[in-house]
Amino acid sequence: MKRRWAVCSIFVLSLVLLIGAGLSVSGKDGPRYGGTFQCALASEPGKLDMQMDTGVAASIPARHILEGLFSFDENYAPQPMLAFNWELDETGTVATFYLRRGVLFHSGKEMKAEDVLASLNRWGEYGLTSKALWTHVVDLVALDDYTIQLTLDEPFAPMTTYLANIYGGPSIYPKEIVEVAGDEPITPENVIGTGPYKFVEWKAGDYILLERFAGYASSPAPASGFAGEKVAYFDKLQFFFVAEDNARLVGIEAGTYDYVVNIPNDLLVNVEGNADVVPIITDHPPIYPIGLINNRTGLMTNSALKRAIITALDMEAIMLAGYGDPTFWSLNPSYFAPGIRWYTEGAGEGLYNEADPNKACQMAADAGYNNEAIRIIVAQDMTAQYNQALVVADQLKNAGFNIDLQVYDKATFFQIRNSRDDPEHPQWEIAFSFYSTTPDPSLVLMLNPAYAGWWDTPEIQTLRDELNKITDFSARHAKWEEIITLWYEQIPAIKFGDAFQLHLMRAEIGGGYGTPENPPMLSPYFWNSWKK
Amino acid sequence: MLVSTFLVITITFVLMQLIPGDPAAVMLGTNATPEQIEQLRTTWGLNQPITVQFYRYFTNFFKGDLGESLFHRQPVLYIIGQRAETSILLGIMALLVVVGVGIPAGTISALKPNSWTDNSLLLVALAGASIPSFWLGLMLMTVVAGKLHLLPSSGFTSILATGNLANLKNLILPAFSLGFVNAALVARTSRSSMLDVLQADYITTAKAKGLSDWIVIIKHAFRNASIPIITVVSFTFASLVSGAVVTENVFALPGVGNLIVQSVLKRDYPVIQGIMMIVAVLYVVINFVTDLTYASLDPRIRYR
Repeated sequence: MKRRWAVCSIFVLSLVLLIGAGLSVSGKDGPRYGGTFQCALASEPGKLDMQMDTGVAASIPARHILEGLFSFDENYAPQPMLAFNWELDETGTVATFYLRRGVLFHSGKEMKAEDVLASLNRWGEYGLTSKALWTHVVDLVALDDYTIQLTLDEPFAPMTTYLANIYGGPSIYPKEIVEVAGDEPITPENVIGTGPYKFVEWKAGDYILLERFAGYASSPAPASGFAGEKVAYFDKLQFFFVAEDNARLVGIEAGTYDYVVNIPNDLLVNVEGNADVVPIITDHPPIYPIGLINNRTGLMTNSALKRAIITALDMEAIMLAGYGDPTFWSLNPSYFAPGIRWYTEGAGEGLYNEADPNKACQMAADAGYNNEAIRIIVAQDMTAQYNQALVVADQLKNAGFNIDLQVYDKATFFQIRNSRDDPEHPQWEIAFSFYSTTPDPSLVLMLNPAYAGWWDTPEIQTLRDELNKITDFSARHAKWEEIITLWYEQIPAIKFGDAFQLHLMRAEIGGGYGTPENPPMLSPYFWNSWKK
Repeated sequence: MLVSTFLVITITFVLMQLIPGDPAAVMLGTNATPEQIEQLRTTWGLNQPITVQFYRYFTNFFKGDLGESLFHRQPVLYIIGQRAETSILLGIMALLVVVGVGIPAGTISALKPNSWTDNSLLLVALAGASIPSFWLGLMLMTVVAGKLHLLPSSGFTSILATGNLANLKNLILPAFSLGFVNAALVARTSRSSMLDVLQADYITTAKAKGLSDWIVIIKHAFRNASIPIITVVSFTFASLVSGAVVTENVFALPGVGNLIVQSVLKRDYPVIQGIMMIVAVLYVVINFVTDLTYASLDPRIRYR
């Protein structure tokens, strides 16, 4: 009897050990819940109300709190998020959106059509990116608690792109929140959304803290970019504001942070060979360093002169100055990077990266250039842009141009670039900046005639209007190619290349933004990631 | 005091208006359109005439209202209050380094002038005065935190909010890098002041009376040498608390110095003006306390 008892005990013990071992293995390799994820951002956002903010810093925490009717998948195609389906009638002017049922706000209230209507109406009236779409909106009504209908005066092809955009886009809030807020930004404690995390605390100058929303109703679609299933594995997300690059670098080495964003490329050598830190180079999508050109008045209304200027430029040297090691950039004359569906083959041939100062000098003379000063403005605290401006100024001087390089801090640079004091007479010819990838050409800033650069020739007006009316992708792509061809005729801006960003992640993070499981998008996201 | 306050308000306000730069454009970022920027400027009241803005700020100030941060949409006093704990603690810890290193080093140097010890300490003081605090901070951070993992690299969590005194360890590296640089100044002041006093007749008399060296140094020499040292230490403390700008940025500490930098870069006028006012008051208070200390140390000084 004793022997049988002993055998049974050994068997049970072995079974427990085996199961335990199995569990621990799966726990180590696979996703697991728990822990606080600490991320160091390079700057502090202004607010979390994304209808009223276009900043990347704000979008990183806000993306975990707020959702819209649509979201971008990893190919930047808009996919239903809070809507589960939608349809457009044959005229292309009446869109019906069917909302998911059982989606809760962080307040516990269920999201219904009245909330979506109130949010869209506020965005339409005060949102920072609503104007292009909302000028076409004739009517917006709720057909029932879970169905809304949007009527336009004419087809607007990028409608769902606008609805999926988070930067100044239509995040959905409870009706009572947006009605009280009106045109004022919603305060952080009232930023109540439907996302996988909810707002807990914002300690000014220090951090923003979010915690998992237990009532989150995830999209049933497979995870893809910002769209599809989102699982909040971490109990809490804490976003610290660490402006000093070295503090972020040492912080990830020391294990203070799990993820740090926007590390200068030349600091990569510091973590090479460190098994605890994983470099994440987000080469897709890149950012686009650019020289804006004042197309409104003065010298730069002369397209032949602008073509002379671009002919003088050696893009390789310019990108090297701005972004260092070629691992972090590539030359690309197309507005969009290869791999993005709006990429245009063969753009800028004969002009981009010609690096021919003699030819440029002759072209400038032919264009009637008479040694007038070309004022280049740049912000010194935008380091890559500043370094690029120095090289561009030098290259243009070598080609015989009279260059006046003016360096400011960012706040002054923006004031001068936007020419707030005298909108009709901008005080610059070339301004250094950069663009982020946009999911649709209609969101490209240079197409906005109000944006600094003020490209508003009759040719671009026509093409812009046509682009917004075409709904078929192939036809739209062909129209976008026409715009790029016009771009290299009229040179509204000089694109230097594609630049990549460097983030660092602790090796103990599973999934992780920028890895194959969670491919890079416009900005980092940390759902579907966990601590091993 | 009222005149000083009025002048500080006016000068700060005028300077803010003279500096070019658009807070709305900074807030909205590089991709904002002029229309969006104008909309935000109107919301913030920045398109109102300067006189209206000044009158509003001036009258609110005397009601105890320093206004609201353009960026945080919170009262300026609340924002500064949130940052004060970090800066005060950092200031106190750095002051401990300043006093604990600077005064003994200066005194020892003065007691053995031109000796090997004196020259070595002078060399260290020269290094302290020459090394930029941000460089020292980065080196300490890289070696002590990054490589040796002995102390946290950056950040600070409130002790008042968490009750966790262990958070003080986050301030050790910044306090040392800040204090070491300032300790050099105090060491040199202490040395020269002590050297002056040690050559005075009453020190010779004290020694002739048969008093021990330590009593002569502490009771007679140091007490009389302390007035210039206290002057330097008090103003060092004021600058440590109000403007550890570089150190707080290097170590990502949520203090007043960090707030100043961020506010200036973003042109958050109400916060900059609020900090200027509080720093001005802080200097006045510390000056007042220093004056009172003089009287307690030197019986010849009396205030009527």
